Amino acid sequence: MPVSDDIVAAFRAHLRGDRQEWNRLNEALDRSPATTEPYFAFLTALFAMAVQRRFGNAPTDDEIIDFVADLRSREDVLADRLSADATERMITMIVRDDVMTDDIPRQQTIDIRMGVLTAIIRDEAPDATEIEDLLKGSRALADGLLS
Amino acid sequence: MPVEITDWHVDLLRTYLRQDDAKLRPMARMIGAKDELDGSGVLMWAAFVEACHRRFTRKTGADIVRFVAHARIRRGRNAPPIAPGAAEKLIISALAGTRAEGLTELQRAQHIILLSELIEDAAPTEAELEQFLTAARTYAERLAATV
Repeated sequence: MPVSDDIVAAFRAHLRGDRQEWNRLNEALDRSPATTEPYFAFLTALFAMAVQRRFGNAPTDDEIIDFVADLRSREDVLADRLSADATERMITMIVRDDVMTDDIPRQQTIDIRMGVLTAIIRDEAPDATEIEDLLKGSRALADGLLS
Repeated sequence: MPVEITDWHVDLLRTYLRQDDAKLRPMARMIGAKDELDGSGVLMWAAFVEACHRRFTRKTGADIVRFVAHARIRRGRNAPPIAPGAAEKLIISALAGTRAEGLTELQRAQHIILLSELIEDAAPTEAELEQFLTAARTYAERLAATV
């Protein structure tokens, strides 16, 4: 099943920083097993594209360590929920292929993708056109992963 | 037999914190020969606790996260790496006066590296270093009395 318009609409609200609309649309999404996969594929694609946008193709380890420390130090809950090691590896995996992330629990991978995506979007404050480009590119990437 | 904190242990710690490798190497070899590990170990931990209390006066999670990341970046790739999750746990446990749970002995031993990083950050004068050593010894003697 490809990424639905409802999933894209929910994440559009999230990327725009409209928390109320994000909560409403996200909670209204169909949670059946068939739609869970496109949801996480889309989140994975958004995370990958945001990381590429933030770091390019050749970030240093120090840049990633610094970014993750900045992200985790914004709120105590983030420091508790996002392991530095796991978050750094998940970011590194997008730009290089010399790290493994198979050992990271699924829920933590979701928390990390959401946390990193939110931080990058908040930092870079893309305009409406850039958000639409990110959503469009991520949807194509996710649909490619799902097909 | 009770653990004793001797002048030799304090000199070992002083030499380590001054990063006087030429003097430290033969002293480190004597740790095993003199069966002095317990005294050294207690003093190292006490110094780490003292250094943590001096560095993290506000005791916020963000300060700890940033310090560990900064230390990892400063050490670079050529030094033994610091595991961030374990390092944060050790600092939190030192500040709380508790034992960090769920760490391997190797991870637990990272407090020795972190101590060096804390002192490098603080950049004490000779007088300040001596005052720090005195405080660490006093605390170590209290700890040793409970071993």
